[in-house]
Amino acid sequence: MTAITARLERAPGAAVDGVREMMPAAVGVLPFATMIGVAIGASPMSQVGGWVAGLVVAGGSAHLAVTASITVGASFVATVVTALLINSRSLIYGALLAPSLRSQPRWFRWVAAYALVDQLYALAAGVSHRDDGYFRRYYLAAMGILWSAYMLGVGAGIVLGPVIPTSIPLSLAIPIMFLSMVIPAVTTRPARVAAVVGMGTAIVAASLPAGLGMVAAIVVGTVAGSIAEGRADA
Amino acid sequence: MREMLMMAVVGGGTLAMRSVFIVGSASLPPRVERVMRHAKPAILAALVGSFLGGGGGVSLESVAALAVAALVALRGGGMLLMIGAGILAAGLFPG
Repeated sequence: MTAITARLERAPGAAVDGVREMMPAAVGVLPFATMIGVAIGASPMSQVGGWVAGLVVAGGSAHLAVTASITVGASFVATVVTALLINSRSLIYGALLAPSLRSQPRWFRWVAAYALVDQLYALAAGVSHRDDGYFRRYYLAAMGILWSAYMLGVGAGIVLGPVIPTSIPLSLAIPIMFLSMVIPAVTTRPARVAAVVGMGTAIVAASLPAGLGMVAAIVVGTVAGSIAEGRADA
Repeated sequence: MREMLMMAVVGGGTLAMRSVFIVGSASLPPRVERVMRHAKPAILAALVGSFLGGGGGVSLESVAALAVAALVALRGGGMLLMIGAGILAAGLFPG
């Protein structure tokens, strides 16, 4: 009896913790998701396809990048490479989180990997020392609330977009959203070097075919950031 | 059809990157991990730059929008305020 009570108390506890701690990030993702929805509505993509893409691409910045690439008519390869490079930071999240997931069931490791976006990594890292059952329920609950908010926001943006007058240059929202993500990411000097060099290269190389300019900018910017860090260490 | 294929490749590639360490048993070389840390600011800034430089060169309209948005951000304004102020500023410099 006590074992059952203890189990009942523990089970919702983890889920409630997950929802409660993800709530600020879930609310925070709403305006971002809504603007992505507006961008999808203004792009040549189908609305349903653009919405479902959120679940397939599995990451807001990559979702926006794919939408932006389709809007400007970038090539297949350039679009895919850009989106994959954006999501490539999840390689690091996966590497960092993997040790604490070793004893989890296989199905959960697949689900956890699929959904591993910035906000989830940040929260999951904080509870990675808890037991497997707690971690699993916490993660699934946090994932559920975050992804629901995201998909709801994107849907709202797609529906609301056409109501906004066409004289307003809404396409400018896309670079501004990326800018709003750059600013919190450039707290260190190497990060600022990577950003400035990446942006400069992207502007200069924008006319290269097949979106090669974007790939060049990412490579040059990333390397410049590493060199700046090396200098700072020396 | 082409978009769907694009999404599928991006989704498949992303899942592969996320699961290689979590489901598989690989681990990232420390040198690669160090360099990769700088990819995020470079990518996000490059996305801003490619929009600025795309479509026949840098326009006064988009520079004004981004400059005002950056100013709003540095003053602690959120994303929606940045977008509102940026688009408003662009209206003052019609491309």
